Amino acid sequence: MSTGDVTPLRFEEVRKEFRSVLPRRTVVGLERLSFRLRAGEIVGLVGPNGSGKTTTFRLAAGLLRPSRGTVAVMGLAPGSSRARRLQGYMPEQPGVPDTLTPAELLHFVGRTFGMSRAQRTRRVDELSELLALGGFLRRRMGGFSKGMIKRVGLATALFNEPPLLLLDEPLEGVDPIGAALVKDYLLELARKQSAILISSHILSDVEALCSSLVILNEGRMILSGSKDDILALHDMVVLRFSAPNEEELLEAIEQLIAEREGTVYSTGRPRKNLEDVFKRLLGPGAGREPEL
Amino acid sequence: MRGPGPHRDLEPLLFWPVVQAPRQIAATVLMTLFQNRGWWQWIVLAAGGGFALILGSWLPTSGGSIGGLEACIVHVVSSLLLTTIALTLGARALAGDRAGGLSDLVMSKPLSGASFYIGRFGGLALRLGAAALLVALVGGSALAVLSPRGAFFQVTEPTAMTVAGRPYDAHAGLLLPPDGTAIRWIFRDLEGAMAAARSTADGVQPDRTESGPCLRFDLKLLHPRNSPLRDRLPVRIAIHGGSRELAVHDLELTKRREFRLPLPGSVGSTMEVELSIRDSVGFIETGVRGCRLIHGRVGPVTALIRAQMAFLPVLWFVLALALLFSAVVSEPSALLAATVVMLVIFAAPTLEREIELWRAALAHGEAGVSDTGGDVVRSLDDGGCCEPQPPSGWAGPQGVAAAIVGALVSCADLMISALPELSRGGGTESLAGCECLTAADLRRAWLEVLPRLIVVLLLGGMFTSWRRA
Repeated sequence: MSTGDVTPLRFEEVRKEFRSVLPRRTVVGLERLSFRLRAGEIVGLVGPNGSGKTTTFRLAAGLLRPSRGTVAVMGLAPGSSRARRLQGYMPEQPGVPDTLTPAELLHFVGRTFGMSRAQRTRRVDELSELLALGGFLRRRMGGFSKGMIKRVGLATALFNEPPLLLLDEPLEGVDPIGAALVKDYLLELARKQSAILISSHILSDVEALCSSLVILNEGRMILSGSKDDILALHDMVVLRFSAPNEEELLEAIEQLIAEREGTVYSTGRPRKNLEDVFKRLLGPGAGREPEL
Repeated sequence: MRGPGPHRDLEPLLFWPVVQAPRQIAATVLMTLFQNRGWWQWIVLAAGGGFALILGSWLPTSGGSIGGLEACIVHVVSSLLLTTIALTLGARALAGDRAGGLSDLVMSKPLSGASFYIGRFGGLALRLGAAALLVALVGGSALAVLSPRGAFFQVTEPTAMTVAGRPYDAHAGLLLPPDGTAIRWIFRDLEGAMAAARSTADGVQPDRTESGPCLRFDLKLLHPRNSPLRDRLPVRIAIHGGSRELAVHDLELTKRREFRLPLPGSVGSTMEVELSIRDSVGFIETGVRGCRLIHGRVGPVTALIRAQMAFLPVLWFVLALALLFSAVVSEPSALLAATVVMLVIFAAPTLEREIELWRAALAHGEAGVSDTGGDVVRSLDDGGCCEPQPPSGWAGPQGVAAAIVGALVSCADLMISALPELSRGGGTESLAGCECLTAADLRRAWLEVLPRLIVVLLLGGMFTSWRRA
């Protein structure tokens, strides 16, 4: 494998087969998947259930080996100890020991990286503040909500401040405030040249975070490219305007489109999204009269 | 950075486990130790395991309602039970880790599969072992109250017996007299054996070192170092022929002794040799591998030693199996780690014996001499009984190497050795009316054990609640 390759993550013609002995059969999880994740880029991996997203993450984290093709993390085999020091992986369902506290788990993770106690303590405090774990840091994780477990899983992925982050459904189950915190932090990391591969069924999150997209279906990549290119609908135009006599003007525009044999699909006033409402109601500075 | 090549595989195989693994295994063990999922299951299993250990080490092998075969079964079953429990719990924990996503979370860190599996299994074995030891200690000290005399000695059956130099094997095994103060062996068909020895027709030459017909046998005293009496036990050996007492010898029984008892001319066809503790009221309890002489008062330390002795081999065995299992399910570097650990575990007792021999030889200024193939030489003394000579079994580095090789063999031997004991029922024979523990004693034992067990359970429950709070 090339040692001069500094691409954080590279998939080249990757095929992954899963074989079962009884009954004897082979299932293809991924077929000829190729993409690159560059420094400072957030790539969204989207697709329906069973499309191969988690398999892609596990290959990138070195938990699976490709049946064919190449997966490289900074030019290294993903399962190698050096590659694992350069990446942070958060599984879709981060299993946490019920009777440990987040602090204990994070210290354990820090030990695997050979960090000193002082380093670990400092990092635990940082992540606790970042992910709002403060009140939960010394409580057993047995009774944690799904969202809180996600935050802990994210903390384990971020613990070593890796240049490559692999986040499988990081925002699923996280409340809007927590999700906003996480999204802001991920954007901040990308600005600091971290590479982030993220998957989510919440497409608005993907849209908000990612600069590129890889769309999978049944183990095959059906589309990839920059978000702007993919999201641009070339056969449709959206016009947003405001004017003193907007109703009259709107009628005139619709009439003009009809004269030119065009079609108006919808007209209406733009709405704020629910996340904004939540942030105003429950986020920092909450309590002011909501502007609906 | 290195390119592909065989050395890339060798590096983790050779160096990684040595440099990295201990710290990370320790981290995983720590994590597992504090993971208390299903705590009540652990208490139940550990309590069962602990009591199985106690019973296995305390049950009499002759006399009473429980015989040697049952005691052997208890021992084997308890060992197998603990092994099965540990492996099942370990396998379930790993399966749970996989299903729950913990293994993905942890193994995406720079932690190899070997470290993870070894750490998880090690932690589980340690937890089970610690809990079983606690139960064994509590139960053992309670049972110790029942036998107010007690230091732990174990005497094996006579071995290497000859009559006038001719092999002789017509003895009846360990016997317990009704008062439980001595061990008896009955030697049968001595006249026939002597007649055969006198005959030159079969080519057997009489032993020229003996002035007359002589019964020779070895006795081995096990674990004398754990006794307040150290390595010498004052015993009395009385020889009875029929209803007459033929001879009495007072001597100190050392770790291993060879006895040469001159046979009186009037010996009948049956002779009885009785071994009792001198100047003391002895108490006898039989075990799986022989007979135990209990002498002196049992304190907490002795009880601890007893429980430890009963428990440690099982823990090592469970740990070794767990390591092997983890080596199979994970990457090859685990095999190296497992082999090293197993070598240490199984070589330790053999090495310890070698070192002991070496120190003894040094003390007598005879280090390095090995003219008897490692056996211990005895000479005649004390009216037919003999005093120990300096051991000369130290064989130098070759001995250590042999010990390591022997350790590998002993892995298999550990399992196989249980089978003959099962088939021969502990090699003991009961006398009618002999009992070591009566039903009343057992009731008293339960009355002693139960309150302590309840206290331990309450403390465990409080601790668990505190941890969860």
